Amino acid sequence: VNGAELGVFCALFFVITLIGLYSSRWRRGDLNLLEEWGLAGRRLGSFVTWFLQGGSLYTVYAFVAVPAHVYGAGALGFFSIAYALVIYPVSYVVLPRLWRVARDGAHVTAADYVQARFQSRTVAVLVAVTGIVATMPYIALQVYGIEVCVAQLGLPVEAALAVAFVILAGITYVAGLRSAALIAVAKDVLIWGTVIMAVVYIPIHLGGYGHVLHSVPAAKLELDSHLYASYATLALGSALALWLYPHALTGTFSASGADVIRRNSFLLPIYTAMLAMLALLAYMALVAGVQPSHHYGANSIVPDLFEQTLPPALAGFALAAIAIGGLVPAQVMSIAAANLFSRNIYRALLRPGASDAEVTSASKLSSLVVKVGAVVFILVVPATYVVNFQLAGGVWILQTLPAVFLALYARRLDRRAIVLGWAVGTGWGTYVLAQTGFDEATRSFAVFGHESVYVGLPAVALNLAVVLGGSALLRIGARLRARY
Amino acid sequence: VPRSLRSLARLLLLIPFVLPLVVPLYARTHPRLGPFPFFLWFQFALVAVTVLGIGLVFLLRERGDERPR
Repeated sequence: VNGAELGVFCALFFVITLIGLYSSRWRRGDLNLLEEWGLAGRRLGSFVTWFLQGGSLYTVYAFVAVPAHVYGAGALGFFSIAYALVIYPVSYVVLPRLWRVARDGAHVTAADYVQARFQSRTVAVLVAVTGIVATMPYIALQVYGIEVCVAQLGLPVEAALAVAFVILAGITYVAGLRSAALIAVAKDVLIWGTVIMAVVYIPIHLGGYGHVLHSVPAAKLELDSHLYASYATLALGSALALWLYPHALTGTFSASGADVIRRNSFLLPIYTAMLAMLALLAYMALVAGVQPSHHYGANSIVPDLFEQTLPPALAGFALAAIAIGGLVPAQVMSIAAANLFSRNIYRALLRPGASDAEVTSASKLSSLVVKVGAVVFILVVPATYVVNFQLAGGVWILQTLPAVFLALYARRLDRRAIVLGWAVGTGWGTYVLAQTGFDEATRSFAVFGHESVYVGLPAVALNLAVVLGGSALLRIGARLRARY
Repeated sequence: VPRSLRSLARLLLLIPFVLPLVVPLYARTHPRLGPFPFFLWFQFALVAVTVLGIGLVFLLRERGDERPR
Protein backbone atom coordinates (compact mmCIF):
# COMPACT_ATOMS: atom_id res chain seq x y z
CA VAL A 1 0.00 0.00 0.00
CA ASN A 2 1.39 3.36 -1.06
CA GLY A 3 0.76 6.22 1.41
CA ALA A 4 0.20 9.02 -1.12
CA GLU A 5 -2.06 6.87 -3.27
CA LEU A 6 -4.17 5.74 -0.33
CA GLY A 7 -4.28 9.25 1.16
CA VAL A 8 -5.68 10.80 -2.02
CA PHE A 9 -8.16 7.93 -2.41
CA CYS A 10 -9.54 8.30 1.13
CA ALA A 11 -9.63 12.10 0.98
CA LEU A 12 -11.76 12.00 -2.17
CA PHE A 13 -14.16 9.48 -0.62
CA PHE A 14 -14.48 11.80 2.38
CA VAL A 15 -15.36 14.78 0.16
CA ILE A 16 -17.99 12.72 -1.64
CA THR A 17 -19.50 11.73 1.72
CA LEU A 18 -19.77 15.39 2.75
CA ILE A 19 -21.49 16.26 -0.53
CA GLY A 20 -23.93 13.40 -0.02
CA LEU A 21 -24.73 14.55 3.51
CA TYR A 22 -25.34 18.10 2.32
CA SER A 23 -27.63 16.98 -0.53
CA SER A 24 -30.76 16.47 1.60
CA ARG A 25 -30.84 20.26 2.07
CA TRP A 26 -30.35 20.99 -1.62
CA ARG A 27 -33.56 22.27 -3.27
CA ARG A 28 -35.41 21.32 -0.13
CA GLY A 29 -38.55 19.23 -0.53
CA ASP A 30 -40.68 16.99 1.67
CA LEU A 31 -38.60 13.81 1.62
CA ASN A 32 -41.57 11.82 2.93
CA LEU A 33 -43.06 12.02 -0.55
CA LEU A 34 -41.84 9.48 -3.09
CA GLU A 35 -41.75 12.06 -5.90
CA GLU A 36 -39.33 14.07 -3.75
CA TRP A 37 -37.19 11.24 -2.37
CA GLY A 38 -37.21 9.06 -5.48
CA LEU A 39 -37.40 11.63 -8.30
CA ALA A 40 -35.96 14.75 -6.62
CA GLY A 41 -39.32 16.45 -7.16
CA ARG A 42 -39.10 16.18 -10.97
CA ARG A 43 -37.16 19.42 -10.88
CA LEU A 44 -33.77 18.49 -12.33
CA GLY A 45 -32.73 20.78 -15.16
CA SER A 46 -30.55 20.03 -18.17
CA PHE A 47 -27.28 20.59 -16.35
CA VAL A 48 -27.83 18.26 -13.39
CA THR A 49 -29.67 15.71 -15.55
CA TRP A 50 -26.63 15.51 -17.82
CA PHE A 51 -24.44 14.58 -14.88
CA LEU A 52 -27.00 12.28 -13.29
CA GLN A 53 -27.78 10.36 -16.49
CA GLY A 54 -24.16 10.32 -17.60
CA GLY A 55 -23.15 9.15 -14.14
CA SER A 56 -25.69 6.37 -13.93
CA LEU A 57 -25.73 5.06 -17.53
CA TYR A 58 -21.95 4.91 -17.94
CA THR A 59 -21.36 2.72 -14.93
CA VAL A 60 -18.19 1.65 -13.18
CA TYR A 61 -18.80 -1.76 -14.67
CA ALA A 62 -18.51 -0.20 -18.15
CA PHE A 63 -15.27 1.50 -17.11
CA VAL A 64 -13.86 -1.82 -15.99
CA ALA A 65 -15.51 -4.33 -18.32
CA VAL A 66 -15.29 -2.50 -21.67
CA PRO A 67 -11.48 -2.23 -21.56
CA ALA A 68 -11.39 -5.81 -20.24
CA HIS A 69 -13.48 -6.93 -23.23
CA VAL A 70 -11.23 -5.11 -25.72
CA TYR A 71 -8.14 -6.49 -23.95
CA GLY A 72 -9.46 -10.03 -24.28
CA ALA A 73 -11.60 -10.08 -27.41
CA GLY A 74 -10.11 -7.17 -29.36
CA ALA A 75 -12.23 -5.10 -31.75
CA LEU A 76 -15.51 -6.81 -30.80
CA GLY A 77 -15.28 -4.98 -27.46
CA PHE A 78 -15.89 -1.71 -29.30
CA PHE A 79 -19.52 -2.65 -29.91
CA SER A 80 -20.18 -0.65 -26.72
CA ILE A 81 -19.32 2.52 -28.65
CA ALA A 82 -21.81 1.69 -31.41
CA TYR A 83 -24.37 0.87 -28.71
CA ALA A 84 -23.70 4.12 -26.87
CA LEU A 85 -24.54 6.03 -30.09
CA VAL A 86 -27.68 4.13 -31.11
CA ILE A 87 -29.29 4.87 -27.72
CA TYR A 88 -29.52 8.60 -28.43
CA PRO A 89 -31.83 8.82 -31.42
CA VAL A 90 -33.98 6.35 -29.47
CA SER A 91 -34.01 8.56 -26.37
CA TYR A 92 -34.72 11.70 -28.46
CA VAL A 93 -37.81 10.15 -30.01
CA VAL A 94 -39.25 7.91 -27.29
CA LEU A 95 -38.39 9.39 -23.91
CA PRO A 96 -40.00 12.86 -24.15
CA ARG A 97 -43.29 11.14 -24.87
CA LEU A 98 -42.90 8.79 -21.91
CA TRP A 99 -41.81 11.68 -19.68
CA ARG A 100 -44.97 13.63 -20.52
CA VAL A 101 -47.26 10.67 -19.83
CA ALA A 102 -45.45 10.04 -16.53
CA ARG A 103 -45.65 13.68 -15.46
CA ASP A 104 -49.33 13.97 -16.33
CA GLY A 105 -50.17 10.71 -14.55
CA ALA A 106 -47.80 11.32 -11.59
CA HIS A 107 -46.08 8.03 -12.42
CA VAL A 108 -42.83 7.28 -10.60
CA THR A 109 -42.00 3.97 -12.32
CA ALA A 110 -42.53 2.36 -15.72
CA ALA A 111 -44.89 -0.13 -14.04
CA ASP A 112 -47.04 2.80 -12.81
CA TYR A 113 -47.47 3.85 -16.43
CA VAL A 114 -48.21 0.30 -17.54
CA GLN A 115 -50.85 -0.08 -14.80
CA ALA A 116 -52.58 3.10 -15.95
CA ARG A 117 -52.27 2.23 -19.63
CA PHE A 118 -53.53 -1.36 -19.48
CA GLN A 119 -55.55 -1.34 -16.25
CA SER A 120 -53.89 -4.65 -15.54
CA ARG A 121 -52.12 -5.49 -12.33
CA THR A 122 -50.62 -8.58 -13.97
CA VAL A 123 -48.82 -6.56 -16.64
CA ALA A 124 -47.68 -3.95 -14.11
CA VAL A 125 -46.32 -6.58 -11.72
CA LEU A 126 -44.53 -8.38 -14.58
CA VAL A 127 -42.84 -5.12 -15.58
CA ALA A 128 -41.94 -4.37 -11.95
CA VAL A 129 -40.54 -7.83 -11.22
CA THR A 130 -38.58 -7.89 -14.48
CA GLY A 131 -37.13 -4.48 -13.64
CA ILE A 132 -36.08 -5.52 -10.15
CA VAL A 133 -34.61 -8.85 -11.26
CA ALA A 134 -32.64 -7.21 -14.08
CA THR A 135 -31.36 -4.46 -11.80
CA MET A 136 -30.13 -6.61 -8.89
CA PRO A 137 -27.11 -8.16 -10.65
CA TYR A 138 -26.37 -4.78 -12.22
CA ILE A 139 -26.02 -3.23 -8.76
CA ALA A 140 -23.84 -6.14 -7.72
CA LEU A 141 -21.56 -5.41 -10.68
CA GLN A 142 -21.13 -1.83 -9.46
CA VAL A 143 -19.95 -3.26 -6.17
CA TYR A 144 -17.64 -5.53 -8.14
CA GLY A 145 -16.14 -2.58 -10.05
CA ILE A 146 -15.47 -0.81 -6.77
CA GLU A 147 -13.99 -4.01 -5.36
CA VAL A 148 -11.50 -4.23 -8.24
CA CYS A 149 -10.24 -0.69 -7.47
CA VAL A 150 -10.09 -1.26 -3.73
CA ALA A 151 -8.17 -4.50 -4.23
CA GLN A 152 -5.70 -2.70 -6.49
CA LEU A 153 -4.95 -0.32 -3.63
CA GLY A 154 -4.20 -3.30 -1.43
CA LEU A 155 -6.99 -2.55 1.03
CA PRO A 156 -8.86 -5.38 2.80
CA VAL A 157 -11.70 -5.83 0.33
CA GLU A 158 -14.58 -6.92 2.58
CA ALA A 159 -14.01 -4.19 5.17
CA ALA A 160 -13.54 -1.43 2.59
CA LEU A 161 -16.69 -2.39 0.68
CA ALA A 162 -18.68 -2.61 3.89
CA VAL A 163 -17.61 0.90 4.97
CA ALA A 164 -18.27 2.38 1.52
CA PHE A 165 -21.74 0.86 1.29
CA VAL A 166 -22.82 1.65 4.83
CA ILE A 167 -22.05 5.31 4.10
CA LEU A 168 -23.68 5.15 0.69
CA ALA A 169 -26.79 3.40 1.98
CA GLY A 170 -27.18 5.95 4.77
CA ILE A 171 -26.88 8.91 2.42
CA THR A 172 -29.35 7.39 -0.04
CA TYR A 173 -31.80 6.55 2.74
CA VAL A 174 -31.86 10.13 3.92
CA ALA A 175 -31.58 12.19 0.73
CA GLY A 176 -32.73 9.86 -2.07
CA LEU A 177 -32.12 10.85 -5.67
CA ARG A 178 -30.88 14.33 -4.66
CA SER A 179 -27.73 12.78 -3.23
CA ALA A 180 -27.11 10.77 -6.40
CA ALA A 181 -27.51 13.92 -8.50
CA LEU A 182 -25.03 15.98 -6.48
CA ILE A 183 -22.51 13.16 -6.11
CA ALA A 184 -22.78 12.64 -9.87
CA VAL A 185 -21.60 16.19 -10.51
CA ALA A 186 -18.59 15.77 -8.22
CA LYS A 187 -17.81 12.32 -9.51
CA ASP A 188 -17.72 13.52 -13.09
CA VAL A 189 -15.13 16.16 -12.37
CA LEU A 190 -12.96 13.30 -11.08
CA ILE A 191 -13.68 10.86 -13.88
CA TRP A 192 -13.21 13.36 -16.72
CA GLY A 193 -9.98 14.49 -15.10
CA THR A 194 -8.83 10.89 -14.90
CA VAL A 195 -9.71 9.91 -18.44
CA ILE A 196 -8.18 12.98 -20.04
CA MET A 197 -5.06 12.60 -17.93
CA ALA A 198 -4.85 8.92 -18.86
CA VAL A 199 -5.21 9.33 -22.62
CA VAL A 200 -2.63 12.13 -22.67
CA TYR A 201 -0.09 10.99 -20.09
CA ILE A 202 0.00 7.23 -20.54
CA PRO A 203 0.63 7.17 -24.33
CA ILE A 204 3.50 9.64 -23.85
CA HIS A 205 4.87 7.33 -21.19
CA LEU A 206 4.55 4.40 -23.63
CA GLY A 207 6.10 6.17 -26.64
CA GLY A 208 3.06 7.74 -28.37
CA TYR A 209 -0.14 6.51 -29.96
CA GLY A 210 1.68 5.47 -33.11
CA HIS A 211 3.89 3.15 -31.15
CA VAL A 212 1.00 1.82 -29.05
CA LEU A 213 -1.25 1.03 -32.02
CA HIS A 214 1.53 -0.49 -34.06
CA SER A 215 2.57 -2.74 -31.18
CA VAL A 216 -0.93 -4.15 -30.70
CA PRO A 217 -1.38 -7.43 -32.61
CA ALA A 218 -3.49 -6.88 -35.76
CA ALA A 219 -5.93 -9.53 -34.56
CA LYS A 220 -6.91 -7.26 -31.64
CA LEU A 221 -7.44 -4.22 -33.86
CA GLU A 222 -9.47 -5.71 -36.70
CA LEU A 223 -12.98 -7.05 -36.54
CA ASP A 224 -13.28 -10.45 -38.17
CA SER A 225 -16.07 -10.55 -40.76
CA HIS A 226 -17.86 -13.44 -39.03
CA LEU A 227 -18.38 -11.13 -36.04
CA TYR A 228 -20.19 -8.35 -37.93
CA ALA A 229 -23.62 -9.72 -37.05
CA SER A 230 -22.66 -10.13 -33.39
CA TYR A 231 -21.33 -6.58 -33.29
CA ALA A 232 -24.44 -5.03 -34.84
CA THR A 233 -27.01 -7.09 -32.93
CA LEU A 234 -25.24 -6.61 -29.59
CA ALA A 235 -25.24 -2.87 -30.22
CA LEU A 236 -28.89 -2.70 -31.31
CA GLY A 237 -30.23 -5.11 -28.69
CA SER A 238 -28.40 -3.43 -25.83
CA ALA A 239 -29.50 -0.03 -27.10
CA LEU A 240 -33.18 -1.00 -27.14
CA ALA A 241 -32.82 -2.49 -23.64
CA LEU A 242 -31.06 0.46 -22.04
CA TRP A 243 -33.97 2.88 -21.68
CA LEU A 244 -36.17 0.13 -20.26
CA TYR A 245 -33.88 -0.29 -17.24
CA PRO A 246 -35.46 1.21 -14.13
CA HIS A 247 -32.44 3.40 -13.36
CA ALA A 248 -32.49 4.93 -16.86
CA LEU A 249 -36.18 5.77 -16.45
CA THR A 250 -35.67 7.22 -12.97
CA GLY A 251 -33.19 9.66 -14.47
CA THR A 252 -35.69 10.42 -17.23
CA PHE A 253 -38.71 10.95 -14.99
CA SER A 254 -36.78 13.25 -12.65
CA ALA A 255 -36.15 15.73 -15.48
CA SER A 256 -38.01 19.02 -15.22
CA GLY A 257 -39.20 19.00 -18.84
CA ALA A 258 -39.33 17.11 -22.12
CA ASP A 259 -36.76 19.48 -23.60
CA VAL A 260 -34.32 18.52 -20.84
CA ILE A 261 -34.43 14.98 -22.23
CA ARG A 262 -34.10 16.13 -25.83
CA ARG A 263 -31.17 18.38 -24.97
CA ASN A 264 -29.46 15.53 -23.16
CA SER A 265 -29.96 13.26 -26.15
CA PHE A 266 -27.28 15.24 -27.94
CA LEU A 267 -25.18 16.23 -24.95
CA LEU A 268 -24.90 12.78 -23.37
CA PRO A 269 -23.03 11.27 -26.38
CA ILE A 270 -20.06 13.27 -25.08
CA TYR A 271 -19.80 10.48 -22.52
CA THR A 272 -19.54 8.02 -25.39
CA ALA A 273 -16.30 9.77 -26.34
CA MET A 274 -15.12 9.10 -22.79
CA LEU A 275 -16.07 5.44 -23.12
CA ALA A 276 -14.10 5.25 -26.37
CA MET A 277 -11.03 6.71 -24.64
CA LEU A 278 -11.39 4.15 -21.85
CA ALA A 279 -11.60 1.37 -24.42
CA LEU A 280 -8.31 2.62 -25.89
CA LEU A 281 -6.72 2.11 -22.47
CA ALA A 282 -7.00 -1.63 -23.17
CA TYR A 283 -4.49 -1.29 -26.03
CA MET A 284 -2.19 0.72 -23.79
CA ALA A 285 -2.42 -2.02 -21.16
CA LEU A 286 -1.52 -4.62 -23.78
CA VAL A 287 1.53 -2.65 -24.85
CA ALA A 288 2.57 -1.81 -21.28
CA GLY A 289 2.57 -5.53 -20.57
CA VAL A 290 -0.17 -5.39 -17.93
CA GLN A 291 -1.30 -8.92 -17.11
CA PRO A 292 -4.77 -10.05 -16.01
CA SER A 293 -4.89 -10.59 -12.26
CA HIS A 294 -5.47 -13.88 -10.55
CA HIS A 295 -8.72 -12.77 -8.89
CA TYR A 296 -10.29 -10.37 -11.36
CA GLY A 297 -8.94 -11.50 -14.72
CA ALA A 298 -8.82 -8.75 -17.35
CA ASN A 299 -11.14 -6.58 -15.22
CA SER A 300 -8.16 -5.33 -13.27
CA ILE A 301 -6.13 -4.14 -16.28
CA VAL A 302 -7.18 -0.46 -16.14
CA PRO A 303 -6.58 -0.04 -12.38
CA ASP A 304 -3.33 -1.93 -12.83
CA LEU A 305 -2.32 0.27 -15.78
CA PHE A 306 -2.96 3.38 -13.68
CA GLU A 307 -0.84 2.08 -10.86
CA GLN A 308 2.02 1.03 -13.15
CA THR A 309 2.23 4.19 -15.23
CA LEU A 310 0.96 7.12 -13.11
CA PRO A 311 2.70 8.73 -10.12
CA PRO A 312 1.18 7.40 -6.83
CA ALA A 313 -0.93 10.47 -5.99
CA LEU A 314 -2.43 10.55 -9.48
CA ALA A 315 -3.03 6.80 -9.40
CA GLY A 316 -4.94 7.25 -6.14
CA PHE A 317 -6.97 10.00 -7.78
CA ALA A 318 -7.74 7.80 -10.79
CA LEU A 319 -8.69 4.76 -8.72
CA ALA A 320 -10.93 6.90 -6.51
CA ALA A 321 -12.59 8.39 -9.61
CA ILE A 322 -13.43 4.96 -10.96
CA ALA A 323 -14.58 3.60 -7.60
CA ILE A 324 -16.75 6.65 -6.92
CA GLY A 325 -18.06 6.11 -10.45
CA GLY A 326 -19.74 3.01 -9.07
CA LEU A 327 -21.55 4.82 -6.28
CA VAL A 328 -23.89 6.91 -8.44
CA PRO A 329 -25.24 4.03 -10.56
CA ALA A 330 -25.57 1.88 -7.43
CA GLN A 331 -27.62 4.66 -5.82
CA VAL A 332 -29.88 5.32 -8.78
CA MET A 333 -30.38 1.61 -9.44
CA SER A 334 -31.26 0.89 -5.82
CA ILE A 335 -33.69 3.83 -5.72
CA ALA A 336 -35.30 2.68 -8.97
CA ALA A 337 -35.66 -0.92 -7.82
CA ALA A 338 -36.95 0.26 -4.44
CA ASN A 339 -39.61 2.43 -6.09
CA LEU A 340 -40.77 -0.50 -8.20
CA PHE A 341 -41.05 -2.62 -5.10
CA SER A 342 -42.82 -0.07 -2.92
CA ARG A 343 -45.34 1.16 -5.49
CA ASN A 344 -45.96 -1.79 -7.76
CA ILE A 345 -45.57 -4.74 -5.41
CA TYR A 346 -45.95 -3.47 -1.84
CA ARG A 347 -48.87 -1.11 -2.45
CA ALA A 348 -50.33 -2.94 -5.43
CA LEU A 349 -50.30 -6.44 -3.91
CA LEU A 350 -49.34 -6.51 -0.25
CA ARG A 351 -50.83 -3.37 1.34
CA PRO A 352 -53.40 -1.86 -1.02
CA GLY A 353 -54.38 0.91 1.42
CA ALA A 354 -50.84 2.09 2.20
CA SER A 355 -50.46 5.86 2.59
CA ASP A 356 -47.93 7.86 0.56
CA ALA A 357 -45.67 8.21 3.58
CA GLU A 358 -45.77 4.46 4.18
CA VAL A 359 -44.88 3.75 0.54
CA THR A 360 -41.96 6.16 0.79
CA SER A 361 -40.66 4.42 3.94
CA ALA A 362 -41.00 1.10 2.17
CA SER A 363 -38.92 2.53 -0.69
CA LYS A 364 -36.23 3.90 1.62
CA LEU A 365 -35.98 0.61 3.49
CA SER A 366 -35.88 -1.52 0.37
CA SER A 367 -33.14 0.69 -1.10
CA LEU A 368 -31.09 -0.31 1.96
CA VAL A 369 -31.93 -3.98 1.56
CA VAL A 370 -31.05 -3.91 -2.14
CA LYS A 371 -27.61 -2.40 -1.49
CA VAL A 372 -26.76 -4.72 1.38
CA GLY A 373 -27.96 -7.61 -0.78
CA ALA A 374 -25.68 -6.50 -3.63
CA VAL A 375 -22.60 -6.41 -1.40
CA VAL A 376 -23.36 -9.81 0.12
CA PHE A 377 -24.12 -11.16 -3.33
CA ILE A 378 -20.77 -10.10 -4.78
CA LEU A 379 -18.80 -11.33 -1.78
CA VAL A 380 -20.51 -14.74 -1.70
CA VAL A 381 -21.35 -15.62 -5.31
CA PRO A 382 -18.52 -16.03 -7.87
CA ALA A 383 -18.31 -12.92 -10.06
CA THR A 384 -18.77 -14.89 -13.29
CA TYR A 385 -22.25 -15.93 -12.11
CA VAL A 386 -23.13 -12.29 -11.46
CA VAL A 387 -21.88 -11.31 -14.93
CA ASN A 388 -23.97 -14.08 -16.50
CA PHE A 389 -26.99 -13.09 -14.43
CA GLN A 390 -26.64 -9.49 -15.59
CA LEU A 391 -26.37 -10.67 -19.18
CA ALA A 392 -29.62 -12.58 -18.81
CA GLY A 393 -31.07 -9.47 -17.15
CA GLY A 394 -30.50 -7.56 -20.39
CA VAL A 395 -32.47 -10.14 -22.36
CA TRP A 396 -35.25 -10.06 -19.74
CA ILE A 397 -35.61 -6.28 -19.49
CA LEU A 398 -35.86 -6.12 -23.29
CA GLN A 399 -39.07 -8.15 -23.03
CA THR A 400 -40.83 -5.19 -21.39
CA LEU A 401 -40.44 -3.19 -24.61
CA PRO A 402 -43.99 -3.83 -25.90
CA ALA A 403 -45.62 -2.94 -22.57
CA VAL A 404 -43.61 0.25 -22.03
CA PHE A 405 -42.46 1.65 -25.41
CA LEU A 406 -44.77 0.13 -27.98
CA ALA A 407 -47.74 1.06 -25.79
CA LEU A 408 -46.80 4.73 -26.26
CA TYR A 409 -47.42 4.43 -29.99
CA ALA A 410 -49.76 1.52 -30.65
CA ARG A 411 -53.21 2.09 -29.22
CA ARG A 412 -54.90 -1.23 -29.77
CA LEU A 413 -52.73 -3.53 -27.75
CA ASP A 414 -54.41 -6.26 -25.76
CA ARG A 415 -53.10 -6.83 -22.25
CA ARG A 416 -53.47 -10.60 -22.63
CA ALA A 417 -51.28 -10.49 -25.74
CA ILE A 418 -48.73 -8.39 -23.82
CA VAL A 419 -48.54 -11.02 -21.08
CA LEU A 420 -48.26 -13.86 -23.60
CA GLY A 421 -45.59 -12.03 -25.62
CA TRP A 422 -43.60 -11.35 -22.46
CA ALA A 423 -43.82 -15.02 -21.49
CA VAL A 424 -42.76 -16.24 -24.94
CA GLY A 425 -39.85 -13.77 -25.24
CA THR A 426 -38.61 -14.35 -21.70
CA GLY A 427 -39.08 -18.11 -21.87
CA TRP A 428 -37.37 -18.54 -25.22
CA GLY A 429 -34.53 -16.14 -24.40
CA THR A 430 -33.88 -17.86 -21.07
CA TYR A 431 -33.99 -21.29 -22.69
CA VAL A 432 -31.42 -20.30 -25.34
CA LEU A 433 -29.13 -18.68 -22.75
CA ALA A 434 -29.43 -21.71 -20.48
CA GLN A 435 -28.13 -23.97 -23.24
CA THR A 436 -24.70 -22.38 -22.85
CA GLY A 437 -24.98 -22.05 -19.09
CA PHE A 438 -25.79 -18.30 -19.37
CA ASP A 439 -22.23 -17.82 -20.56
CA GLU A 440 -22.74 -16.45 -24.07
CA ALA A 441 -24.80 -13.41 -25.06
CA THR A 442 -24.68 -14.39 -28.74
CA ARG A 443 -25.75 -17.59 -30.45
CA SER A 444 -25.76 -18.75 -34.03
CA PHE A 445 -29.10 -19.64 -35.58
CA ALA A 446 -29.69 -21.45 -38.87
CA VAL A 447 -32.30 -18.87 -39.93
CA PHE A 448 -29.70 -16.10 -39.78
CA GLY A 449 -27.24 -18.00 -41.95
CA HIS A 450 -25.38 -19.39 -38.92
CA GLU A 451 -24.05 -15.97 -37.96
CA SER A 452 -23.93 -15.41 -34.22
CA VAL A 453 -26.48 -12.84 -33.07
CA TYR A 454 -27.40 -11.33 -29.70
CA VAL A 455 -30.07 -13.57 -28.14
CA GLY A 456 -32.15 -10.64 -26.87
CA LEU A 457 -32.99 -9.46 -30.36
CA PRO A 458 -34.78 -12.57 -31.74
CA ALA A 459 -36.39 -12.95 -28.31
CA VAL A 460 -37.95 -9.49 -28.45
CA ALA A 461 -38.87 -10.02 -32.11
CA LEU A 462 -40.83 -13.14 -31.09
CA ASN A 463 -42.38 -11.18 -28.25
CA LEU A 464 -43.45 -8.37 -30.60
CA ALA A 465 -44.89 -10.83 -33.10
CA VAL A 466 -46.99 -12.45 -30.37
CA VAL A 467 -48.13 -9.07 -29.01
CA LEU A 468 -49.13 -7.66 -32.40
CA GLY A 469 -50.56 -10.91 -33.80
CA GLY A 470 -52.32 -11.74 -30.54
CA SER A 471 -53.83 -8.28 -30.19
CA ALA A 472 -55.14 -8.42 -33.75
CA LEU A 473 -56.61 -11.92 -33.31
CA LEU A 474 -58.26 -11.02 -30.00
CA ARG A 475 -59.76 -7.91 -31.59
CA ILE A 476 -61.16 -9.90 -34.51
CA GLY A 477 -62.47 -12.52 -32.09
CA ALA A 478 -64.24 -9.89 -30.00
CA ARG A 479 -65.78 -8.35 -33.11
CA LEU A 480 -67.07 -11.72 -34.33
CA ARG A 481 -68.51 -12.51 -30.92
CA ALA A 482 -70.28 -9.15 -30.83
CA ARG A 483 -71.83 -9.81 -34.24
CA TYR A 484 -73.08 -13.36 -33.75
CA VAL B 1 -38.75 27.08 -39.12
CA PRO B 2 -40.63 25.76 -42.19
CA ARG B 3 -42.26 22.39 -41.66
CA SER B 4 -40.45 20.78 -44.60
CA LEU B 5 -37.05 21.77 -43.24
CA ARG B 6 -38.01 20.42 -39.84
CA SER B 7 -39.01 17.01 -41.14
CA LEU B 8 -35.91 16.92 -43.31
CA ALA B 9 -33.80 17.65 -40.24
CA ARG B 10 -35.47 14.83 -38.34
CA LEU B 11 -33.93 12.43 -40.86
CA LEU B 12 -30.61 13.30 -39.21
CA LEU B 13 -31.74 11.07 -36.34
CA LEU B 14 -31.28 8.13 -38.69
CA ILE B 15 -27.51 8.70 -38.92
CA PRO B 16 -26.63 7.65 -35.36
CA PHE B 17 -29.30 4.95 -35.44
CA VAL B 18 -28.30 3.27 -38.72
CA LEU B 19 -24.60 3.92 -39.39
CA PRO B 20 -23.22 2.24 -36.22
CA LEU B 21 -25.18 -0.89 -37.19
CA VAL B 22 -23.82 -1.14 -40.75
CA VAL B 23 -20.63 -2.74 -39.51
CA PRO B 24 -19.12 -3.79 -42.91
CA LEU B 25 -19.08 -0.08 -43.79
CA TYR B 26 -16.38 0.68 -41.24
CA ALA B 27 -14.79 -2.62 -40.20
CA ARG B 28 -11.60 -1.86 -42.13
CA THR B 29 -8.12 -0.58 -41.39
CA HIS B 30 -7.70 1.94 -44.21
CA PRO B 31 -7.79 4.87 -44.62
CA ARG B 32 -5.98 5.50 -41.36
CA LEU B 33 -6.11 8.79 -39.50
CA GLY B 34 -2.61 9.16 -38.14
CA PRO B 35 -2.00 5.91 -36.26
CA PHE B 36 -5.74 5.18 -35.84
CA PRO B 37 -7.31 2.49 -38.05
CA PHE B 38 -10.53 3.45 -39.84
CA PHE B 39 -12.56 1.16 -37.56
CA LEU B 40 -11.63 3.29 -34.56
CA TRP B 41 -11.61 6.81 -35.91
CA PHE B 42 -14.84 6.34 -37.86
CA GLN B 43 -16.68 5.47 -34.65
CA PHE B 44 -15.01 8.32 -32.76
CA ALA B 45 -16.06 10.67 -35.56
CA LEU B 46 -19.61 9.31 -35.34
CA VAL B 47 -19.73 10.56 -31.75
CA ALA B 48 -19.20 14.12 -33.01
CA VAL B 49 -21.69 13.59 -35.83
CA THR B 50 -24.28 12.35 -33.31
CA VAL B 51 -23.84 15.39 -31.08
CA LEU B 52 -24.15 17.79 -34.04
CA GLY B 53 -26.94 15.90 -35.83
CA ILE B 54 -29.27 15.46 -32.88
CA GLY B 55 -28.33 18.97 -31.74
CA LEU B 56 -29.54 20.36 -35.06
CA VAL B 57 -32.80 18.41 -34.84
CA PHE B 58 -33.25 19.88 -31.37
CA LEU B 59 -32.65 23.45 -32.52
CA LEU B 60 -35.21 23.07 -35.32
CA ARG B 61 -37.77 21.22 -33.15
CA GLU B 62 -41.41 22.11 -32.83
CA ARG B 63 -41.85 24.01 -29.59
CA GLY B 64 -44.85 24.15 -27.35
CA ASP B 65 -45.01 20.87 -25.46
CA GLU B 66 -43.24 22.45 -22.52
CA ARG B 67 -46.50 23.58 -20.95
CA PRO B 68 -46.16 23.99 -17.20
CA ARG B 69 -48.04 21.76 -14.81
